[in-house]
Amino acid sequence: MIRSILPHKHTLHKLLLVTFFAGASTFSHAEEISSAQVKLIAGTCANCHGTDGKLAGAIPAIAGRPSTVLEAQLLAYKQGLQPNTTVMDRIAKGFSDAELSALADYFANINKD
Amino acid sequence: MSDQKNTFSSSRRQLLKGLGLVSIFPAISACAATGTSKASAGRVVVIGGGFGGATAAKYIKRGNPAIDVTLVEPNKTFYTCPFSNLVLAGERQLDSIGHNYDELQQVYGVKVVHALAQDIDPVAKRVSLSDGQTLQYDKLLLSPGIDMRWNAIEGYDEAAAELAPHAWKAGPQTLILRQQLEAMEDGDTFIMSVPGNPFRCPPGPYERASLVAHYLKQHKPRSKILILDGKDNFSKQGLFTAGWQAHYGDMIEWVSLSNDGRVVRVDAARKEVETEFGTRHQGAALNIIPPQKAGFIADRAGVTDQSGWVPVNPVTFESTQVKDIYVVGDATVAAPMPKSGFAANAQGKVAASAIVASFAGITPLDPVWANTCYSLINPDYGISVADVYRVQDNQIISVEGAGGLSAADASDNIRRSEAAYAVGWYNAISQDTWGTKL
Amino acid sequence: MRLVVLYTFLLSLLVMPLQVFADWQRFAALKEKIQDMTPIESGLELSLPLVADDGSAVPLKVVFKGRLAEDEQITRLWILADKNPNPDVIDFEISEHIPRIELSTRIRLGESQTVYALAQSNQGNLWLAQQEVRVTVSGCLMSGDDTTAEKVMSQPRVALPRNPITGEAAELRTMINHPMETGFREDDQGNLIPQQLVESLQVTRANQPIFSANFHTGTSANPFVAFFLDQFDDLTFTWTDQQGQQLSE
Repeated sequence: MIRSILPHKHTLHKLLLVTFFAGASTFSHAEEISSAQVKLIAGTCANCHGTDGKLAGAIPAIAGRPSTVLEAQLLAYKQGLQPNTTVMDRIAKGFSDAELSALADYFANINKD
Repeated sequence: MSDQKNTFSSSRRQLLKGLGLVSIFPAISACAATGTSKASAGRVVVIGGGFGGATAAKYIKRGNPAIDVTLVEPNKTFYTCPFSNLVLAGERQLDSIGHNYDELQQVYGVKVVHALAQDIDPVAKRVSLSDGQTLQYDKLLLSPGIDMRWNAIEGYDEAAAELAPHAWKAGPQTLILRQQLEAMEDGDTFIMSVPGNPFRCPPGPYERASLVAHYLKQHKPRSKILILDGKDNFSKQGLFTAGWQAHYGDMIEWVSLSNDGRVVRVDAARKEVETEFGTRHQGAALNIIPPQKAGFIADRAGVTDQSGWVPVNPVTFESTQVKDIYVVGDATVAAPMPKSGFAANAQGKVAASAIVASFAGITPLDPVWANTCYSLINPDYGISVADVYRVQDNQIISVEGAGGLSAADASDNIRRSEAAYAVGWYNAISQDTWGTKL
Repeated sequence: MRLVVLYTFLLSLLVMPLQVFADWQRFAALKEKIQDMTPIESGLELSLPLVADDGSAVPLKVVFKGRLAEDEQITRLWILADKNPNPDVIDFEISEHIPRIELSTRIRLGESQTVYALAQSNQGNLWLAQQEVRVTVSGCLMSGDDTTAEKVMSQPRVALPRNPITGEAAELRTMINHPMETGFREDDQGNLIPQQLVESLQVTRANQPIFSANFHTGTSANPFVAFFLDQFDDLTFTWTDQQGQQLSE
């Protein structure tokens, strides 16, 4: 997939650093994640959190929660900093930090009703 | 002029189809397509109202309500395989895992036809139904699940399944098996035959053994469970084995392929099986999970390959053999994604997005999927295996460093949490797929 | 105009297969066996799953349906895998007492690759078949269990056909328990676990060898071989491991 905007030199350097330190992850995308792309990625979250992340139950709802909270939570899962986690760490590790940030933003902006 | 063009392209399409080349020539076959370069709503027919099909229908409508979507599903109530093992254990009633199509129709505007799709003409783009109707489509999405390979095990045909059920499609089969378990006397043996890969729901048979053990431990504690396996290892094996030892002692015996576990012959009436090297076993209740293949409608559509499963484009889940037919769920070759309801739902969304994009003339996006398979060793002891998938070099790959099994040494609290999350997952995915929740 | 493009493309496709089959030329182990000969590329049928969820025990069947001259018979059959650390998978020595060349076994594939079957007759003719196999590990298949087995042979099994009729070809199955340690695996300390293999299965009738299977690192653990006979009395099956230990049935 060709992303339309060529990264600015600064971003390119950051991108190179990110990809160098990304270790096992091999995502070749620019830091920009389109809203359509986030929406597609977010679809998989519905399987446990309900459509649009609205379903509350044993598994918490995520729609409408503050973006900063969601992002911090996701990054904590990814870095293995969340104790007593059962599955979210294993899942969060499959996404880049940029994707997790975009997902946090996406769910934060969903109307909770 | 347009008539001539259509006939010509029709016969050429036949030639191309014969060579398996239809999908390579979008330009040439565009004559027969109804899409135009400007964004336009179209007609989609979805066959199969399970985790894959119902989700795809809903998400196509969410993506563009102007697209006409008709869902074909013979059952008015869909019973899920997930959690059907709890029905076998007597922990739930069958009704509690049944889902209807009200929300899809009333909220999302999906037209639902309760009939069986019997044939597909991919050239004329027509589906023939068991009630005599035909449906025209611009794009077809198949989520037909599996069909059993009858007689792959000698003596195991459709009639035999009434006596030795597979219960690998939930509903009446589940009840037949439940009745057999209820009729067992204390001390009797429950025999399960499990096939080699690939088959629907890799950890399923072992969860079944676990939950039946849970039932037997309470009501018929001297009974035994014998698993005859066509494999030498299975999903979450370490976790299951540890859980079995902790909760069921030596009630469950697992015989691997290399210990003569593969069943080659069944006498369903006598509830007796024979394995590869001539050993015979007879039980009071017999569950045969036979080798499988894609649901038959996939064959009719021309999308199956020599393996009996459906190869697909990993980005869009469009068939690699027939253009404008998308296939999701257990029927597909999507390894390393497993054949699971979770995966079918996730693939349904990706295919839906690809269909919406295609009608709008937009390039499809790169998918990412997660999958979490929960298994219950008993209602308070849950284990899981998770994974994240992406597309790389036109293949689906499992993301390294992500996913994995529940910890081997997890506390009782974690096991209990996972069991609770399994219920939460079931509610969420049911709501996401059909709009129904418990 | 489109017609021209179409037919040119179709023509090029006809040429392609020759290109694809020439790939074996680059597979040294296979080239060594074929040398300058031209193997016949029809008649030998190899079947394996297109996608194997687990590379440790991939079912394989090879059938010979080609044309043989008078007094010609297949005497050797090799299975090779072009990307395994050791390309030798399994090979067979076949006498005239084998009524039908239909062999089944289970093999190990370390990664996605092409598997080749090469058959040779007593007149020196060669037949070649191949199939690409994609090997993945399905996420749900993670067993999370690594049991280290005893490295000795045990439980030799032979299943004769249920109602064998002399003169009618029927299938027999054989299996023996053994982990088939390849010598490529490392233990927790990073040391290579030494190789320990069952080397062969020899089948004799009245002490005359009639069929042998030679196992290699590419043969799955608990070597399984099924083949056809039409006379079922006075048979002895002998498995030999690398230490020279033998078990008979």
